[in-house]
Amino acid sequence: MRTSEPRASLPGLARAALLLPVALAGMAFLACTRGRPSPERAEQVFRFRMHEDPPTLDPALSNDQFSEAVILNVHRGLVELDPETLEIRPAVADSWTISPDNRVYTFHLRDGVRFHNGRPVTSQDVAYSLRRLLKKETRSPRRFLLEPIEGAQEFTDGTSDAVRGLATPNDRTVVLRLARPFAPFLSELTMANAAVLPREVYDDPQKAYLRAPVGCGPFRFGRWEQSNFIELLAFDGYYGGRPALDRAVIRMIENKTSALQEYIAGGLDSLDETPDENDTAMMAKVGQEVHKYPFMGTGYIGFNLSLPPFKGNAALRKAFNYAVDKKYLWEVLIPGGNIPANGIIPPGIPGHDKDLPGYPHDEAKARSFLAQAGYPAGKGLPPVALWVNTGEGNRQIASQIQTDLKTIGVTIVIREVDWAAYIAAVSGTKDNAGQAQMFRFGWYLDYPDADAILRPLLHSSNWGPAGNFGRYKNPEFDALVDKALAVTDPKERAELYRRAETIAVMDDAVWIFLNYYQASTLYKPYVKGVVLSPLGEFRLPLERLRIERGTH
Amino acid sequence: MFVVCALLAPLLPASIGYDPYAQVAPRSVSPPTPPSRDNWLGTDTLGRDLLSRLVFGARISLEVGVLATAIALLIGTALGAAAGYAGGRTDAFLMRATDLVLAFPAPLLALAIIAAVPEPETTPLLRSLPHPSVGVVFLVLGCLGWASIARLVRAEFLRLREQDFAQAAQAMGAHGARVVLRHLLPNALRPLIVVATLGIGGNILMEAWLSFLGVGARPPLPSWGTMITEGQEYFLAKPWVCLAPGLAILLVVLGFNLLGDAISDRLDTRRRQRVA
Repeated sequence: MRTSEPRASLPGLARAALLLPVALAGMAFLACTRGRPSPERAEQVFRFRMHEDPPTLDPALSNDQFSEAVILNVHRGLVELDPETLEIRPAVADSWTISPDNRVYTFHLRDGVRFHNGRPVTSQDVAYSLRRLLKKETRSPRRFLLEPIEGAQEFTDGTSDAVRGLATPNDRTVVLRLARPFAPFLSELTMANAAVLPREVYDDPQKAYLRAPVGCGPFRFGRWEQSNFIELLAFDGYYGGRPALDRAVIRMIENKTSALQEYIAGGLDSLDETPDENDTAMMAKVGQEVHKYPFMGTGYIGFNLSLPPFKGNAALRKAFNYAVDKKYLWEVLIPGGNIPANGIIPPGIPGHDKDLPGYPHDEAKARSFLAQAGYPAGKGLPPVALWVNTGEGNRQIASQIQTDLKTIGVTIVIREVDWAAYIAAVSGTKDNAGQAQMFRFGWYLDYPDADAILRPLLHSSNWGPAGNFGRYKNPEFDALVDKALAVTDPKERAELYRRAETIAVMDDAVWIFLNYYQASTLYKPYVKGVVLSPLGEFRLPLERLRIERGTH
Repeated sequence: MFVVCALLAPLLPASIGYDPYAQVAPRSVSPPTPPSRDNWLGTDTLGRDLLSRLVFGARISLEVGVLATAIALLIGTALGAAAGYAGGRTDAFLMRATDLVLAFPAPLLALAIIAAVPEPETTPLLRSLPHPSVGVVFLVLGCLGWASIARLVRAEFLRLREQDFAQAAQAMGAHGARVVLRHLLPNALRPLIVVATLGIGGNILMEAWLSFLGVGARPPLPSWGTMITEGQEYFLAKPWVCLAPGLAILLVVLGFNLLGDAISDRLDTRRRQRVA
């Protein structure tokens, strides 16, 4: 999943201007929650913060953490990924079988699963939802998840009216046949995009579902006040039992300082950002409520391999890598958040190689590679543009990299633009390499498999806007990643991924390998059942939370 | 004081051993570090000496303030003089153009124009300037700031044109340029000096505002506006990081405004007489 972390944010003045209305809205909000008549049992409400409105609530179109945070609580697919253990668990399907040749998946639907509108879920709904994701008109950025199903391409192209590999022998059974074995297929079905949707709602030409989604998950959709809040309500008919929470409120607060103040004031029960560790005054207030945990993601500076000066110059890319002091960056300058990276596959994912040498800070090596690249002491190298999206964190990272590279004689020009302009410059089009020579990017894995990072970001089939923004193409790397998909032995797969990673890191130095993410989130002590997911701070299984305040 | 700072800034690294770009905070302590004996104002978010950056930042502010005002003066005076002296259609045309420029919200227009030059470092002409990203700022501010000056000069010229000395010069057959340059302009100089002094303060403020929004001076340049943005996140915990540049802007703009007022008082003969 693409992330702008550290996230896109408004320019400074606008940010400052936001403080006041946020505070006012907060007060109004508190006033209104307090004003409600309390029944015998205190209402269980959980309020957490999101930076901005989710770009979409249509599962098929979702491609970011904010959208998924909502969708995964409103919807369910055939299977789900336990956000804590990362196991694939039954959801709408309560069991499934896989044929010995790893090509045929047969799902048996659970009894008693209902949509929020009360209608029981049938295998027809599953088939409808999967076809909807594949349909060309849906324009899903994640259509590729279902690509392994036999006949998927023909269906999307319109040359076939049905998906050959998708069958529903009866109301309770769904059979999916793959064109060839594809190891992460079940993982892909756990994603928000593969949610089971009621046809009567999602066939609406007016698209009312965009603002009032209907699913079969633990929460039904309440209200959405743009740029203010989204309210989710417990669904009494949830197959897993009614959640303990009565309501969950997602509040949009952009600015970190205002969000922290709001958390302290009691307007939020959880916050996905924590105070600067050096901020002793703030840490004294909330330090006890900080939860830190690693999660599956990697941050990097991408090189555009189609543009000079990086095109065909691995020595230059290695010089940049050695010049940047990742240890200082993550342990001193911006402490407490991230782990310096030695490569691509984050810890905890099969294939992560803790012995990969990577590029520890070494100025002498940086200088020698720079000379080898044809620019001794930086002579002859024009200023190189480093693109970042607006935000304090990004600015600080970019400035540090600028400073580090200056020491070996390289001039970096920082281009800080809003998220939309940034993405346009970085992704370009299939034929146009885009403008950005270097760009800061982060990637959270959608499921715990090395394929979920190596393929979208570096495989040549995703060249350009599809995710391989650096336009990396190495047939040897492609072949290893492809081969790993067809292999089912976990050890052998991990080994193939390690080899692929070594090529991209040590031979080709495709990025500046910056960090593996570590999340830190604030939770009030009265929030119980907290899940700290390696999938990111926005994987919040709200149905597991409950509020246990002392008597007051 | 401020001007002295700006002029002496290049000598700084040699004299006190600090370079505004060097990371001087110890590599083991997370910046910004608090004020200490070595770093009187502490260090910024990247561990660079705040005082050195502040002093260097004075150069950027002065550069923008003075150059933008100079450009505005040049354009404004030329157009105002032409309108005031020639009168008639020329006057009408130039004044409508001035109205047009005045009608635009200048800060927004400046923002838009500067945003449209995404890479001053590679733009011809700007590339040759010492600080390309600052160059765009003073060019744009200068080109947008002339309208009020043009009005002022025109008004002065309309008044002076009818006075005896100007009429006499014309009667003696002096040609237009001579009348304007030798007789009218010197007499219109007083209000211009006042406006220019105030304008420098205004432009410094504008530069800080643009840099604060991220479209002015680019990192690693130590513009005061950029420094405030960088320190913003630490406002509650380490307020000196953004208070220092903030105070600097306040003092300098205040200084220029007071200077402008003082000059205005000095030059105002009528008032002097009254006081006497």
